[in-house]
Amino acid sequence: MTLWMLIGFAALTAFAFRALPFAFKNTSALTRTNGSFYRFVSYSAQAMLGVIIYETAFAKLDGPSLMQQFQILDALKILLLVGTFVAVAKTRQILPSFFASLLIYVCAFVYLNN
Amino acid sequence: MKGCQAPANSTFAQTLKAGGRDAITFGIAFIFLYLSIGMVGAAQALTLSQTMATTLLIFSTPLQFLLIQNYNDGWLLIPIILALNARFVLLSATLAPHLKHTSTRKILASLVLLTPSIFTACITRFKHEKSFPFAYFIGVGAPIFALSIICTYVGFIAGAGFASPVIAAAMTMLLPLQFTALAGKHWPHYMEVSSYWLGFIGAPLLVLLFKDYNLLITPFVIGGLIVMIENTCTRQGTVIQ
Repeated sequence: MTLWMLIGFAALTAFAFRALPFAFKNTSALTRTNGSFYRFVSYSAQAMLGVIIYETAFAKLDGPSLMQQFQILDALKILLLVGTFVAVAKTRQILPSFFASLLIYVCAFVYLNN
Repeated sequence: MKGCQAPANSTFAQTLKAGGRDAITFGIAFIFLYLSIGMVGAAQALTLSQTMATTLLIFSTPLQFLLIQNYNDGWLLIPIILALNARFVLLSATLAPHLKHTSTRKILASLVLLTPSIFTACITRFKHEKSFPFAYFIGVGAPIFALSIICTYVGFIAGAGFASPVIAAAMTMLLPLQFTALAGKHWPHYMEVSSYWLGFIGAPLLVLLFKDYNLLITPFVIGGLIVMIENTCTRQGTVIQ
Protein backbone atom coordinates (compact mmCIF):
# COMPACT_ATOMS: atom_id res chain seq x y z
CA MET A 1 0.00 0.00 0.00
CA THR A 2 1.57 3.30 -1.07
CA LEU A 3 1.82 6.33 1.19
CA TRP A 4 -0.56 8.26 -1.08
CA MET A 5 -3.18 5.55 -0.64
CA LEU A 6 -2.73 5.67 3.14
CA ILE A 7 -3.04 9.47 3.11
CA GLY A 8 -6.19 9.20 0.97
CA PHE A 9 -7.73 6.57 3.25
CA ALA A 10 -6.88 8.55 6.41
CA ALA A 11 -8.27 11.77 4.88
CA LEU A 12 -11.52 10.12 3.76
CA THR A 13 -12.18 8.38 7.09
CA ALA A 14 -11.27 11.52 9.07
CA PHE A 15 -13.78 13.47 6.98
CA ALA A 16 -16.45 10.77 7.34
CA PHE A 17 -16.10 10.54 11.13
CA ARG A 18 -16.10 14.32 11.45
CA ALA A 19 -19.18 14.64 9.22
CA LEU A 20 -21.30 11.72 10.46
CA PRO A 21 -22.79 13.30 13.65
CA PHE A 22 -23.82 16.43 11.71
CA ALA A 23 -26.24 14.23 9.74
CA PHE A 24 -28.11 13.82 13.03
CA LYS A 25 -27.76 17.42 14.25
CA ASN A 26 -31.54 17.99 14.28
CA THR A 27 -32.46 14.73 16.01
CA SER A 28 -33.73 14.97 19.58
CA ALA A 29 -30.81 12.87 20.87
CA LEU A 30 -28.43 15.72 20.00
CA THR A 31 -30.69 18.76 20.32
CA ARG A 32 -31.79 17.92 23.89
CA THR A 33 -28.54 18.99 25.53
CA ASN A 34 -29.91 18.08 28.98
CA GLY A 35 -30.78 14.58 27.83
CA SER A 36 -28.77 11.54 28.95
CA PHE A 37 -27.42 10.77 25.48
CA TYR A 38 -26.00 14.25 24.83
CA ARG A 39 -24.52 14.44 28.32
CA PHE A 40 -22.95 11.01 27.79
CA VAL A 41 -21.35 12.19 24.53
CA SER A 42 -20.25 15.49 26.04
CA TYR A 43 -18.68 13.91 29.17
CA SER A 44 -17.04 11.22 27.04
CA ALA A 45 -15.45 13.97 24.91
CA GLN A 46 -14.05 15.63 28.05
CA ALA A 47 -12.78 12.26 29.31
CA MET A 48 -11.13 11.69 25.94
CA LEU A 49 -9.20 14.97 26.33
CA GLY A 50 -8.07 13.74 29.76
CA VAL A 51 -6.84 10.47 28.22
CA ILE A 52 -5.06 12.37 25.44
CA ILE A 53 -3.17 14.63 27.87
CA TYR A 54 -2.10 11.67 29.99
CA GLU A 55 -0.84 9.82 26.91
CA THR A 56 0.99 12.93 25.64
CA ALA A 57 2.58 13.90 28.95
CA PHE A 58 3.51 10.38 30.08
CA ALA A 59 4.18 8.66 26.74
CA LYS A 60 1.26 6.20 27.12
CA LEU A 61 2.90 4.44 30.09
CA ASP A 62 0.60 2.16 32.05
CA GLY A 63 0.24 2.73 35.81
CA PRO A 64 2.77 0.15 37.09
CA SER A 65 5.40 1.20 34.50
CA LEU A 66 4.93 4.86 35.42
CA MET A 67 5.41 4.06 39.12
CA GLN A 68 8.59 2.09 38.35
CA GLN A 69 10.10 4.83 36.19
CA PHE A 70 8.74 7.78 38.17
CA GLN A 71 11.09 10.79 38.11
CA ILE A 72 11.16 14.32 39.51
CA LEU A 73 10.04 15.65 36.12
CA ASP A 74 6.94 13.41 36.24
CA ALA A 75 6.00 14.80 39.65
CA LEU A 76 6.53 18.30 38.28
CA LYS A 77 4.27 17.55 35.31
CA ILE A 78 1.42 16.51 37.63
CA LEU A 79 1.99 19.54 39.88
CA LEU A 80 2.01 21.93 36.94
CA LEU A 81 -1.15 20.43 35.42
CA VAL A 82 -3.05 20.67 38.70
CA GLY A 83 -1.59 24.15 39.35
CA THR A 84 -2.60 25.38 35.89
CA PHE A 85 -6.11 24.04 36.36
CA VAL A 86 -6.54 25.73 39.76
CA ALA A 87 -5.02 29.02 38.54
CA VAL A 88 -7.32 29.20 35.49
CA ALA A 89 -10.38 28.19 37.55
CA LYS A 90 -9.62 31.03 39.98
CA THR A 91 -8.44 33.77 37.60
CA ARG A 92 -10.38 32.79 34.41
CA GLN A 93 -7.20 33.79 32.51
CA ILE A 94 -5.56 31.09 30.39
CA LEU A 95 -2.37 32.60 29.01
CA PRO A 96 -0.51 33.71 32.21
CA SER A 97 -0.74 30.33 33.94
CA PHE A 98 -0.13 28.46 30.67
CA PHE A 99 3.10 30.34 29.97
CA ALA A 100 4.25 30.30 33.61
CA SER A 101 3.81 26.52 33.80
CA LEU A 102 5.51 25.95 30.46
CA LEU A 103 8.45 28.15 31.47
CA ILE A 104 8.83 26.35 34.82
CA TYR A 105 8.79 22.98 33.06
CA VAL A 106 11.36 23.97 30.40
CA CYS A 107 13.67 25.53 33.07
CA ALA A 108 13.39 22.39 35.23
CA PHE A 109 14.09 20.20 32.19
CA VAL A 110 17.20 22.24 31.28
CA TYR A 111 18.41 22.27 34.91
CA LEU A 112 17.90 18.53 35.44
CA ASN A 113 19.53 17.64 32.11
CA ASN A 114 22.39 20.15 32.41
CA MET B 1 -32.05 47.77 5.12
CA LYS B 2 -28.40 48.46 5.64
CA GLY B 3 -29.17 49.86 9.07
CA CYS B 4 -30.81 46.56 10.01
CA GLN B 5 -27.92 44.50 8.78
CA ALA B 6 -25.13 46.53 10.34
CA PRO B 7 -25.43 45.38 13.95
CA ALA B 8 -25.74 41.73 12.90
CA ASN B 9 -22.71 42.04 10.62
CA SER B 10 -20.66 43.72 13.29
CA THR B 11 -21.55 41.00 15.78
CA PHE B 12 -20.57 38.34 13.25
CA ALA B 13 -17.30 40.20 12.65
CA GLN B 14 -16.72 40.66 16.38
CA THR B 15 -17.27 36.95 16.97
CA LEU B 16 -14.89 36.13 14.14
CA LYS B 17 -12.35 38.49 15.69
CA ALA B 18 -12.86 36.98 19.15
CA GLY B 19 -12.14 33.57 17.63
CA GLY B 20 -9.01 34.96 16.01
CA ARG B 21 -7.86 36.34 19.37
CA ASP B 22 -8.40 32.99 21.07
CA ALA B 23 -6.55 31.28 18.22
CA ILE B 24 -3.37 32.96 19.50
CA THR B 25 -3.52 30.87 22.67
CA PHE B 26 -3.87 27.65 20.71
CA GLY B 27 -1.62 28.59 17.82
CA ILE B 28 1.47 28.41 20.02
CA ALA B 29 1.15 24.66 20.49
CA PHE B 30 0.46 24.15 16.79
CA ILE B 31 3.66 26.01 15.80
CA PHE B 32 5.79 23.40 17.57
CA LEU B 33 3.64 20.46 16.54
CA TYR B 34 3.56 21.28 12.83
CA LEU B 35 7.20 22.34 12.62
CA SER B 36 7.89 18.85 13.97
CA ILE B 37 5.60 17.20 11.43
CA GLY B 38 7.48 19.02 8.64
CA MET B 39 10.84 18.02 10.13
CA VAL B 40 9.85 14.37 10.63
CA GLY B 41 8.46 14.27 7.08
CA ALA B 42 11.81 15.44 5.71
CA ALA B 43 13.73 13.04 7.96
CA GLN B 44 11.56 10.08 6.84
CA ALA B 45 12.25 10.87 3.15
CA LEU B 46 8.69 11.91 2.32
CA THR B 47 8.23 14.41 -0.51
CA LEU B 48 7.11 17.94 0.30
CA SER B 49 3.73 17.31 -1.35
CA GLN B 50 3.16 14.15 0.72
CA THR B 51 4.04 15.93 3.97
CA MET B 52 1.87 18.94 3.08
CA ALA B 53 -1.02 16.65 2.04
CA THR B 54 -1.14 15.13 5.54
CA THR B 55 -1.73 18.59 7.02
CA LEU B 56 -4.05 19.85 4.28
CA LEU B 57 -6.26 16.76 4.09
CA ILE B 58 -6.03 15.12 7.52
CA PHE B 59 -5.06 17.85 10.07
CA SER B 60 -4.74 15.48 13.02
CA THR B 61 -1.33 15.46 14.71
CA PRO B 62 -1.31 11.90 16.15
CA LEU B 63 -2.50 10.45 12.85
CA GLN B 64 0.01 12.49 10.85
CA PHE B 65 2.90 11.37 13.05
CA LEU B 66 1.68 7.77 12.72
CA LEU B 67 1.51 7.93 8.93
CA ILE B 68 4.81 9.74 8.47
CA GLN B 69 6.78 7.52 10.84
CA ASN B 70 5.23 4.14 10.02
CA TYR B 71 4.03 4.27 6.42
CA ASN B 72 6.14 1.21 5.59
CA ASP B 73 3.70 -0.87 7.66
CA GLY B 74 1.13 -0.31 4.88
CA TRP B 75 -2.31 -1.86 5.38
CA LEU B 76 -1.45 -2.84 8.98
CA LEU B 77 -2.06 0.82 9.83
CA ILE B 78 -5.71 0.72 8.73
CA PRO B 79 -7.25 -0.35 12.10
CA ILE B 80 -5.14 2.26 13.93
CA ILE B 81 -6.19 4.95 11.43
CA LEU B 82 -9.85 4.03 12.00
CA ALA B 83 -9.40 4.02 15.78
CA LEU B 84 -7.67 7.42 15.77
CA ASN B 85 -10.30 8.94 13.49
CA ALA B 86 -13.24 7.49 15.44
CA ARG B 87 -12.58 10.02 18.23
CA PHE B 88 -13.82 12.75 15.86
CA VAL B 89 -17.34 11.35 16.20
CA LEU B 90 -17.40 12.43 19.85
CA LEU B 91 -16.17 15.93 19.06
CA SER B 92 -18.62 16.41 16.18
CA ALA B 93 -21.57 15.01 18.13
CA THR B 94 -20.89 17.40 21.03
CA LEU B 95 -20.51 20.38 18.68
CA ALA B 96 -23.45 19.50 16.37
CA PRO B 97 -26.29 21.06 18.44
CA HIS B 98 -24.41 24.37 18.58
CA LEU B 99 -24.09 24.43 14.78
CA LYS B 100 -27.61 23.17 14.00
CA HIS B 101 -28.57 26.46 12.29
CA THR B 102 -25.45 26.44 10.07
CA SER B 103 -25.91 25.12 6.54
CA THR B 104 -24.62 21.63 5.79
CA ARG B 105 -22.53 23.03 2.92
CA LYS B 106 -20.65 25.38 5.27
CA ILE B 107 -20.15 22.65 7.85
CA LEU B 108 -18.81 20.16 5.31
CA ALA B 109 -16.46 22.77 3.85
CA SER B 110 -14.97 23.56 7.26
CA LEU B 111 -14.86 20.08 8.81
CA VAL B 112 -11.10 19.73 8.45
CA LEU B 113 -10.76 22.42 11.15
CA LEU B 114 -12.28 20.16 13.80
CA THR B 115 -9.49 19.07 16.14
CA PRO B 116 -9.53 18.55 19.93
CA SER B 117 -7.98 22.01 20.51
CA ILE B 118 -10.44 23.90 18.33
CA PHE B 119 -13.31 21.82 19.74
CA THR B 120 -12.26 22.73 23.30
CA ALA B 121 -12.06 26.44 22.44
CA CYS B 122 -15.56 26.31 20.92
CA ILE B 123 -17.23 24.36 23.72
CA THR B 124 -15.66 26.63 26.35
CA ARG B 125 -17.11 29.69 24.60
CA PHE B 126 -20.49 28.19 23.69
CA LYS B 127 -21.21 27.49 27.37
CA HIS B 128 -21.59 31.21 28.04
CA GLU B 129 -21.87 32.80 24.57
CA LYS B 130 -24.17 31.19 22.03
CA SER B 131 -24.34 33.80 19.25
CA PHE B 132 -22.66 33.18 15.89
CA PRO B 133 -21.10 29.82 16.79
CA PHE B 134 -19.97 29.14 13.21
CA ALA B 135 -18.17 32.51 13.05
CA TYR B 136 -16.29 31.62 16.22
CA PHE B 137 -15.48 28.13 14.92
CA ILE B 138 -14.01 29.63 11.74
CA GLY B 139 -12.36 32.47 13.69
CA VAL B 140 -10.42 30.01 15.86
CA GLY B 141 -9.93 27.25 13.31
CA ALA B 142 -8.90 29.06 10.12
CA PRO B 143 -5.85 30.94 11.52
CA ILE B 144 -4.65 27.78 13.27
CA PHE B 145 -5.07 25.72 10.11
CA ALA B 146 -3.21 28.34 8.04
CA LEU B 147 -0.44 28.53 10.64
CA SER B 148 -0.15 24.73 10.69
CA ILE B 149 0.21 24.63 6.89
CA ILE B 150 2.96 27.27 7.01
CA CYS B 151 4.75 25.52 9.88
CA THR B 152 4.62 22.15 8.08
CA TYR B 153 6.28 23.80 5.08
CA VAL B 154 8.90 25.64 7.17
CA GLY B 155 9.62 22.49 9.20
CA PHE B 156 10.09 20.44 6.03
CA ILE B 157 12.42 23.02 4.46
CA ALA B 158 14.41 23.53 7.68
CA GLY B 159 14.71 19.76 8.15
CA ALA B 160 16.41 18.75 11.37
CA GLY B 161 17.73 22.30 11.95
CA PHE B 162 15.08 23.07 14.57
CA ALA B 163 15.30 19.80 16.46
CA SER B 164 16.55 20.05 20.04
CA PRO B 165 15.83 18.19 23.32
CA VAL B 166 14.44 21.39 24.87
CA ILE B 167 11.91 21.84 22.05
CA ALA B 168 10.98 18.16 22.37
CA ALA B 169 10.46 18.64 26.12
CA ALA B 170 8.35 21.76 25.56
CA MET B 171 6.23 19.84 23.05
CA THR B 172 5.56 17.11 25.62
CA MET B 173 3.82 19.61 27.89
CA LEU B 174 2.30 22.08 25.41
CA LEU B 175 -0.93 20.23 24.68
CA PRO B 176 -1.46 18.90 28.23
CA LEU B 177 -1.07 22.41 29.67
CA GLN B 178 -3.31 23.89 27.01
CA PHE B 179 -6.13 21.37 27.49
CA THR B 180 -5.84 21.57 31.29
CA ALA B 181 -6.03 25.37 31.20
CA LEU B 182 -9.20 25.05 29.13
CA ALA B 183 -10.61 22.47 31.53
CA GLY B 184 -10.09 25.11 34.23
CA LYS B 185 -12.42 27.37 32.26
CA HIS B 186 -15.19 24.75 32.66
CA TRP B 187 -15.14 25.26 36.43
CA PRO B 188 -17.62 25.11 38.22
CA HIS B 189 -19.30 22.66 35.84
CA TYR B 190 -18.34 19.78 38.08
CA MET B 191 -19.38 16.94 35.81
CA GLU B 192 -17.32 18.16 32.81
CA VAL B 193 -14.32 18.81 35.04
CA SER B 194 -14.69 15.40 36.74
CA SER B 195 -14.89 13.68 33.34
CA TYR B 196 -11.67 15.39 32.26
CA TRP B 197 -9.70 14.43 35.39
CA LEU B 198 -11.15 10.92 35.49
CA GLY B 199 -9.90 10.51 31.91
CA PHE B 200 -6.45 11.62 33.04
CA ILE B 201 -6.41 9.38 36.12
CA GLY B 202 -8.16 6.45 34.45
CA ALA B 203 -5.88 6.34 31.38
CA PRO B 204 -2.85 4.65 33.03
CA LEU B 205 -5.09 2.16 34.84
CA LEU B 206 -7.59 1.25 32.13
CA VAL B 207 -4.84 0.91 29.51
CA LEU B 208 -3.98 -2.36 31.28
CA LEU B 209 -7.47 -3.58 30.36
CA PHE B 210 -8.11 -1.96 26.99
CA LYS B 211 -4.50 -1.93 25.64
CA ASP B 212 -4.31 -0.17 22.25
CA TYR B 213 -8.01 0.70 22.36
CA ASN B 214 -7.69 2.74 25.55
CA LEU B 215 -8.41 6.04 23.78
CA LEU B 216 -11.48 4.51 22.14
CA ILE B 217 -13.08 2.77 25.14
CA THR B 218 -12.01 4.60 28.33
CA PRO B 219 -13.81 7.90 27.51
CA PHE B 220 -17.12 6.07 27.01
CA VAL B 221 -16.72 4.14 30.27
CA ILE B 222 -16.13 7.41 32.14
CA GLY B 223 -18.86 9.28 30.27
CA GLY B 224 -21.38 6.53 31.07
CA LEU B 225 -20.34 6.41 34.71
CA ILE B 226 -20.69 10.18 35.16
CA VAL B 227 -24.16 10.23 33.52
CA MET B 228 -25.26 7.38 35.81
CA ILE B 229 -24.01 9.27 38.89
CA GLU B 230 -25.65 12.48 37.71
CA ASN B 231 -28.97 10.77 36.96
CA THR B 232 -28.93 9.04 40.36
CA CYS B 233 -28.23 12.35 42.13
CA THR B 234 -31.01 14.05 40.15
CA ARG B 235 -33.48 11.32 41.12
CA GLN B 236 -32.48 11.76 44.77
CA GLY B 237 -32.97 15.51 44.45
CA THR B 238 -29.32 16.61 44.68
CA VAL B 239 -28.56 19.46 42.29
CA ILE B 240 -25.29 19.13 40.40
CA GLN B 241 -24.06 21.95 38.23
